[in-house]
Amino acid sequence: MEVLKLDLFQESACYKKPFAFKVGETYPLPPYSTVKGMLHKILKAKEFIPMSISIQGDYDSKFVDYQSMYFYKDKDITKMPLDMHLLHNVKLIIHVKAERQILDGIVGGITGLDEYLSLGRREDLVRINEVKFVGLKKYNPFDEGKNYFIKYPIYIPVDKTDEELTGINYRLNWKYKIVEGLRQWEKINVIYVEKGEELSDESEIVIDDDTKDLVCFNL
Amino acid sequence: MIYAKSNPIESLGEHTGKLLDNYEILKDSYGHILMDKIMWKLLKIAVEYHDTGKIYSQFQNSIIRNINRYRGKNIKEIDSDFEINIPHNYLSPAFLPYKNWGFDKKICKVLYQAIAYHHERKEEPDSKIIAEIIEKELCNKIKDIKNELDIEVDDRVVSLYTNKIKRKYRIKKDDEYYNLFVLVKGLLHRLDHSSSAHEKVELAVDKNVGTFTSKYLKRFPVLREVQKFSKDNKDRNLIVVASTGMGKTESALLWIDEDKGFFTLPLRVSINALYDRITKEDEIGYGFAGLLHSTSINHLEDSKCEESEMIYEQSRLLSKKLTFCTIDQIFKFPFKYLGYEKSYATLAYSKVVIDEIQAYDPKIAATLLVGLKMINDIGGKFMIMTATLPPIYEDYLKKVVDEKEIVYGKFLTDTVRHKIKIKEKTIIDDADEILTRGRNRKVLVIVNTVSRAIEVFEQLDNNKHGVKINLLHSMFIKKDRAYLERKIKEFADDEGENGIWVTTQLVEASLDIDFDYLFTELSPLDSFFQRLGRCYRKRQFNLDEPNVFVYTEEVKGIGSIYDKDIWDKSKKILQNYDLRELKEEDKIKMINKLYSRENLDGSEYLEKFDNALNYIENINPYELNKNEAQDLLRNIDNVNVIPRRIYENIEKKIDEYKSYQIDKNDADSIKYFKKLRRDIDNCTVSIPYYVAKKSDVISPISERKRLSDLYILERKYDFKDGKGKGVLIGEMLSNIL
Repeated sequence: MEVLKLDLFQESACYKKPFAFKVGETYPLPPYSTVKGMLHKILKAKEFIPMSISIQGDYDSKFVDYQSMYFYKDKDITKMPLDMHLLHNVKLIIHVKAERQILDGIVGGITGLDEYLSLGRREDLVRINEVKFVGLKKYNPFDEGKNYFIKYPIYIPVDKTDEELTGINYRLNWKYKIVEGLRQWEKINVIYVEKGEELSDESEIVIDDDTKDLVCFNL
Repeated sequence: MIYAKSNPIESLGEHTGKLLDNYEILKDSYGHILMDKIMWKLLKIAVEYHDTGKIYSQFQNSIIRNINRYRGKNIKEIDSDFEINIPHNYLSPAFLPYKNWGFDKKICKVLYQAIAYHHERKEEPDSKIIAEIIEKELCNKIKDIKNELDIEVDDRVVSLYTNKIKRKYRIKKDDEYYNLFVLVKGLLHRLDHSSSAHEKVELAVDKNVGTFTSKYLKRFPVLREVQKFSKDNKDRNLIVVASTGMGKTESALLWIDEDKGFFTLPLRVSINALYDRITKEDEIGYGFAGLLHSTSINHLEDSKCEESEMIYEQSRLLSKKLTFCTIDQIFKFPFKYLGYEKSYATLAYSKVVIDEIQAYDPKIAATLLVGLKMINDIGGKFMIMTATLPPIYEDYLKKVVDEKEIVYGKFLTDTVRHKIKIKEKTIIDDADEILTRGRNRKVLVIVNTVSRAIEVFEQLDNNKHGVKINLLHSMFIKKDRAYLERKIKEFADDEGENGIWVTTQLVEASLDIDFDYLFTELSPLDSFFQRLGRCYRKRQFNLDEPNVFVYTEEVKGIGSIYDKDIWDKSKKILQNYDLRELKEEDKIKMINKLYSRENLDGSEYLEKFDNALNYIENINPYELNKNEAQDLLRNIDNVNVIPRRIYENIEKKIDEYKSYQIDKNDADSIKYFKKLRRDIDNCTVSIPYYVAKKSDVISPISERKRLSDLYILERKYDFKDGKGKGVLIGEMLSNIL
């Protein structure tokens, strides 16, 4: 089965963590909900469209921007300066698995965009380097005679592996239901694994047939 | 040839073969106790593959370089694409064809880690480099490995194990295969170390100490009660409270019977004495025992000069059927230092005897208790023998060891041996009393500090009027102290001799001596009862007046050597027994009262004990190395010093030692070198480090590594013709035992 592979670039981005009120902390990669949101926007979706996403990528460095931030205080709006953590020169590889017509819809949407795309905050613009369909295959270290080392930092869902992986655990938002006027999020536990980490044969290693990038879908 | 060792030169095949031989010995010897089949299977695999990583070119080259350097050979190094030398133990797991065996994933991890950590290294395995070495080099050497070792290896090897051997994933006590891991890794250590030393991993397996002991005991009409009890409960953990002189030692040997055993005592001197007794032909005559403590080689040299090196080496390798040792030699494992699995795994198929548990300070006792629990957890057996057992220790064991696993026995004599008189004055002021009795009797004076001992000695010596006064404390250099210890024994054994020995608690447990009167400063009850044991040791009390005088005023060493709370509480309890004949039962009662949780509530002593238990139970494994664990256990803040005068006498020898070139291929050269060291050691005395440092009375002997652990003590040393006061460091002495 073919999946869609997006190669994206952002000069700067902040994927702000929920409840990061005192400092605008960012995730090292956009969380699932953010990527899903962008794809839904491309699809002009009105409701959740079933899909799975794999997110990996890297950035050059982090920097801090001191900005005004607007808050609600009771019913008034007030503002306060805040440190925003920003990633610089972000390269992202997103794999999307869904029914073919949905994937086609994404490709169509991208070619016919009526507004610029952003990922993270509204001002975090995205440049789309490439969109294409790729095939997937299993990687067997024994057949290859080589271990698999992770090329780009990646989110690996915890329930997709029993391996002892070194990384940072996150609970990422995925999708929500509205309950009594509030968004109630479905969360996914992932490990953010740095590049250079080795994968053993205990987890199934899936790569694309394009540039042999690892693919780890959230669902 | 694939090299495994350079000195002597040994191939990988030869070395692994030795381990396999030892594996068979171990399995034949103790397979009936360690019955887990998986364990033996894994251990065999671990043995076969443990050193395969040595085939790596850089390892081979480092051995070749050693051979060339020390053997004057000229072997060509192997071409290599690599410059870095990765520890071979991190490479060995690459050759495991684990898929063929179908082990559970967690069991695989046991195997990987046992092999990867059969040498403990501080450095983390580097997945990238390991993968590269395997991909570029090791995969081309599969055939060589197979030819050398006759083992299965897959046609293709890949390092998929490096995450599993990372430090943070090391198998710890909550892992379901923790015990299995301890056994596989610990026994691999044993096999490896024994084989490297060209020794058998287990010796004299069929020599049953129980049989020897029974034979010896035939000299007596019947087995004592405690002996029968121990014999009948061979397969249980025992806690035996018995009076001195009830035949506890023999009981322990009967309990060990046909099993491998470790017999621990607090003091080296008493271990030496016990070792001699057990091995001597005209006593129990068990010639297969080992002796293991920090200076055991010296004692072996004296008593068994021919075989001393061998016995020492075999004891160190834990190969002896029965080993007499100090607790620091085998009870470091509760600290889970790097490599602790070795002694822990050995204890899994052994029996351990803890004699005189009351003599350890609360921290060490806590370590022992946690150790006993761990031993029980992994299948080993223990026996605690003591004259008195503090209830707080018993409470802990009851809490952590299943009730059914422990059997208690209490064996007290009805013999009354002492009547004490409490004197509310200082011992110094009672010189006349002491002298009067010293004229026609053997009188023992025990005080709490060295300075007090010297004070009392001088006081008596100035007014002696013909009474013989002797002095013994810890501040003599080793050989003089050994001489004095011999003298006090001879004195005690000689019926015609009368006089006075002034000593410190040094004699409490170490020496088997019997005096007629005891004059002592009050010490905590357990120590006090030990002191009582040196007077009317085996005799029924038969005097019109007390035979023990206890001084309670201006007592030294309270708050420094002895815990103040314990001392105060001891005094209070003892006061009820003034001028009463003391029964064994009374002693137990007093100890039970003193060391009960209620009585100690809020005391520093109890806090220390509880904190230590808590610390050891929750210790992070692999944070300490072996020496650090040793220091914790011995609680030593001592330095070894040589008094200036002695130093000048042996300066030549010290210089010779400092610059001595050892020829590692010449056994005589090594022996000579060791002898030099021992001669120097015999001129040392050990003093508390903080005292030495604070008063700035020591200066290092050597800038270089050799002898850097010794210092010169810039103080007078008084000892001539078998008599003297020892080291005289004035004020400093007040806090030394």
